[in-house]
Amino acid sequence: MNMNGKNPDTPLSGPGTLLLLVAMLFVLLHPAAVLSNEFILLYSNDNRGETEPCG
Amino acid sequence: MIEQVRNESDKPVLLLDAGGLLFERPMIPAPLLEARKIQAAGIIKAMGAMQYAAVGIAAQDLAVGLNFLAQQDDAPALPWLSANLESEAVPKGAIQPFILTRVAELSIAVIGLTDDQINTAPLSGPKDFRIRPWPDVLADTLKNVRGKADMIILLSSYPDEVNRRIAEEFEEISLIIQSGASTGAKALRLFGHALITQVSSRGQYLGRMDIDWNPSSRQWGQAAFRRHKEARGRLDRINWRLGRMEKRLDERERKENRDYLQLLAEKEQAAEEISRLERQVRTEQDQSSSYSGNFIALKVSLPEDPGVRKIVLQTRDAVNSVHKKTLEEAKRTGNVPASGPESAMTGWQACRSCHPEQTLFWQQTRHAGAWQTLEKARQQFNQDCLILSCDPADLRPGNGRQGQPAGRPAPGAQGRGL
Repeated sequence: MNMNGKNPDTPLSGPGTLLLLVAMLFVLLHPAAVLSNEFILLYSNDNRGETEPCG
Repeated sequence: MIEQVRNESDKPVLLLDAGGLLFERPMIPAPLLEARKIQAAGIIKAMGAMQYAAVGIAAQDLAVGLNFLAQQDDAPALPWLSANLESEAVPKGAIQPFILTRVAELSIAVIGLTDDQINTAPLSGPKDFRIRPWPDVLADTLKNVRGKADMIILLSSYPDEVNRRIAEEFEEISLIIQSGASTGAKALRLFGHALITQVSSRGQYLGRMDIDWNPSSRQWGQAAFRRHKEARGRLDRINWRLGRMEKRLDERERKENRDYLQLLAEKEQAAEEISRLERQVRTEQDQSSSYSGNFIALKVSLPEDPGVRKIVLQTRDAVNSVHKKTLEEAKRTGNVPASGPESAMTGWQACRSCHPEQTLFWQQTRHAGAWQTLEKARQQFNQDCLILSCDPADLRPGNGRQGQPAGRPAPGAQGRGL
């Protein structure tokens, strides 16, 4: 045990560190979802019974 | 085409039809009624397969009665909209005044309005409905969507001038898609706070708008710019009139002239409005919603959805069979039609003995193969493809309709419809 109360011999591993790494990776690979108000409107009107040409 | 747009962009797609979908007119000639009903049922099925979010009801859609629409309950059902249509004949919920749909991060309300002229027009089917005039219902319908929708779209079969009045009166409506009243296309134009548009009739085109909507401002870009321009024009006219009066009147007379004083007050109001609008124009670019729009030509060469194609082919065959049956019945009863395969015409072979040269020439024309084209397309009994107009107006030079089958598209403009 050193003056900071930490054991310098403890390796940088264990379940806590692993969880932190996974969380960091998740954040890096999944950027925050951007709120979007963009869309495409497709519209039609007055088909008037048309299905297809005669031939 | 719709699938192509859905696949080529990562933006969500909202698909709407403003109405006038099923029939040409509210009155259908009796011999064509059964075939037209089959055709309309096929269209409803195909539109459902294309996953339309909402379809407005125009007057001609009610040609065979409202119940006909409600009976076409193939899944997925088509969401018919009309806020001013009342009826005891159809189950509750079959026709809705509006829908609220989620697109991107937005809640969009789509409202339907049907032109009330149909109340007095003759129909081919039962009049199992009543259309209330739009001023009786629209304010209440808007009250129902207020606070729930980020954007309001109106599908209206009222004429253009009525839709402009609606746009001026109800600022919360952002877009009006028209149907029913006229056949031509109308590019997007701003009236009040709403854009008004329609595509040309008979399914030749699909309208497309790429929208980036700001639910906080709920205004299209250039709304303030346009109002600013109008106010500047008004101020110019006032200044011109004031200038004329100042030439005629001396200073003392001006102080006593009521028209002059009124114009001065109007000038002050216009100047205040211009200054207010100038501030709005400056912030408009950051806050307002933007759009771009165009019409997509639906050519025959475009790839078709196999499911929709199947429905169209089944419908076409069913229509051809009905016409065939009608012709056979007419032949049996001796009521032979004037045109078509069972008509009393002798055929081109009878002409050959007396007019060999003319027959030879005719055989080299495309007209000689027209019947084979119809046979190949399994449309040889379809009266819509056979009836040639005998209206002398059709044969008059310069009208662009010479020799066209009645009510059919002109060559080169094919590929429309579903």
